[in-house]
Amino acid sequence: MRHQATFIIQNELGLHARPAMLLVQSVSRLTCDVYLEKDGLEADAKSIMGVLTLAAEQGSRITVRAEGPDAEKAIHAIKKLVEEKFGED
Amino acid sequence: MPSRNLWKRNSERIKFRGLGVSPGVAIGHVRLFHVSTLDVGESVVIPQNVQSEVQRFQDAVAQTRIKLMELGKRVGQRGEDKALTEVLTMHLMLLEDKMIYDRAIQLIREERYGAEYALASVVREARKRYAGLPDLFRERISDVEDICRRIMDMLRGVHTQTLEDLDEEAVIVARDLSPSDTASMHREMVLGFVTEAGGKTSHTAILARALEIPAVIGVPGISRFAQDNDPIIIDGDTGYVILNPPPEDIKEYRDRQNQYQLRQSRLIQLAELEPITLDGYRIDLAANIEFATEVESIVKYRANGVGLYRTEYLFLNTYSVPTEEEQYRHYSEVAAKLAPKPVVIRTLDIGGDKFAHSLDTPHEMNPFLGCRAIRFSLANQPIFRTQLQAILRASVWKNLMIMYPLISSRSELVQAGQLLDSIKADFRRQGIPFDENIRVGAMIEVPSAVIIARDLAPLVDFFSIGTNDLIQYTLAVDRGNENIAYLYQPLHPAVLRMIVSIVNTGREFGLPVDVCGEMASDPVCALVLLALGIESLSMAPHAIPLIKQVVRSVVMVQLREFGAELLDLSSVADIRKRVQQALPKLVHDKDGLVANLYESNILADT
Repeated sequence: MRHQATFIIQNELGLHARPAMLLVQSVSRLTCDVYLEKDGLEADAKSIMGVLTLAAEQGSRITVRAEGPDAEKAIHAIKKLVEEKFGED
Repeated sequence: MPSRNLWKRNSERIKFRGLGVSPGVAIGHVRLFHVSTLDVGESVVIPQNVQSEVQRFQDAVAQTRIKLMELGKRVGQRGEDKALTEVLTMHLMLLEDKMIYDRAIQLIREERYGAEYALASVVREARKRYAGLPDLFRERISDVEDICRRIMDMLRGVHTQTLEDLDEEAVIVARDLSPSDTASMHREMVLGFVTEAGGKTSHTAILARALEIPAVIGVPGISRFAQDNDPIIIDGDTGYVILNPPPEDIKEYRDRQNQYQLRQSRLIQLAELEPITLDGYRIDLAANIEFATEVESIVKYRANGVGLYRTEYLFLNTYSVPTEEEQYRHYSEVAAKLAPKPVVIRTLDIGGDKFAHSLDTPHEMNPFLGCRAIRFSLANQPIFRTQLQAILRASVWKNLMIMYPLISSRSELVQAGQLLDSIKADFRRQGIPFDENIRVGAMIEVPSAVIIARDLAPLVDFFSIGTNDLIQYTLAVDRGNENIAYLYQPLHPAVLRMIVSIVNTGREFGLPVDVCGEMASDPVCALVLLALGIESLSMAPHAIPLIKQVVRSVVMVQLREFGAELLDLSSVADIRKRVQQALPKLVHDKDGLVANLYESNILADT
């Protein structure tokens, strides 16, 4: 199972501490590998430090790649968070 | 540097000065707060011990998790805000982060590192990773350091000191405080904070203001001099910290504490009123700020914008010069939140008594007469250019003004103006929007600038008098030097005549003249400044209500006549006496404010 999708980060402060926590929590229990890519840099979406140090600000283009039984769920969970601007704004 | 032990025995009065970041006075006893170091010497284990070393690390992490969860429960029970719970959740997540947990175990297995050294290496790698990021992200390294410190203490079998354990009221003295230190803090027990570290990343500053607890930051050496239970006074307004104060100090500061509380209660009633004199003159009361986060207090105290935005705090306490993007974000945040109210951004005022790790400032015998402020900027054009570009980009809100500090000659304004013009030309070419009418001003704080003000006037749109430095340079008095502090006299005739001279030049050239030094926040000095013709004052936000009350109690016409009389007097003593005599006639006080003015230190004999 491989899934991929690209999102634009819309909330004002980007993937700062709180949104990054929500993102990691949304995928951490899923049975799949999830990676985020920004400008050629890749981070493990299950690592809070990885996600934070991507420094994805508002307007950043993030590609999510997921592989494993829950890959589709992972993409869906992240899509929902991004679209809801992580509950901010 | 004297040996630590020698100073440990010393219980003499020692006075320090730092940056007052949260107003109010705290009088109490010291509680030293130490954090354990994350720098560990290299250590390697023999192959047979690798597995037990891994086990030791895993046990330490497991124990740390239990401690954190207990802490989380207690914080939850105390019903404290969500932010604290979030900090703790973040820390629990970091505890199992691959880049910390898995990486440390990998280093123990593959490199045979001792557990402590493996953990220290993980922190070092993390620091590198965070170093180049924009502020908002880079600052989160403190969470990593924080959690690794807890694991480190567990590995070493030492108890992690927390502010949660406080069992009696205390003034916290520390090198620096991390978010989790403050998260677990027992709030009712903390009277105030003093830290060696300072600057915008100081959580202490932001937290203290939010909690309205007095705080002074940027006091180097304090944690070496102070001992647990030493008596201490901190003044969050002036930035003074007195260790082992004698009874006179305690009495003086008790009085100030009372005054402060009085002032706070008056606040609520005054916020809505306009700063208009009894005869209808409007006086501009603006705020001095250091951090973008202070915008809230401007709203709270109804300031008319920012008269002095001290940008150097963006540069202090960081290991890299802030990028144009970072600066832009700070400036435009302030501009956007306050528009259309004016915001005067002062370009970098580094040197003197403010130094940054990230900037290569020379060591000088006499830093206040050295390469500081505009001199530093002109000598380091790439840094200056970056700052001006960031300001210009943020100027699209049409409320920004640029102010150059420590102007002492015409050529400095010419050079700064040329640089600004070349940036504007670049922006036009590249189609980058900015405010074509952005106004620039000179800070008047050196006597030479007062004397040649007529030559400076055609090059600027406004003057702003920085009284702290103007007094220091006019009277040749280092105000940080206690032996001659009595010579630092805001009401010295030379100072008053300098101010009038600038006001007159401003009128002649149609330039506004404001005052943004500490004089503006002292009620008696503010009254004298109004008498001398100043119509715009900028001060620490919390001082605005009291000054507003002064403005609302005077008749401008009467005050101006009084100002003219003051100029004929030739000594500080005469000026003080005249002010004291005139106060009851000048201040038409309905709410018992005059009593307060008589107590001003400015009028006290020294």
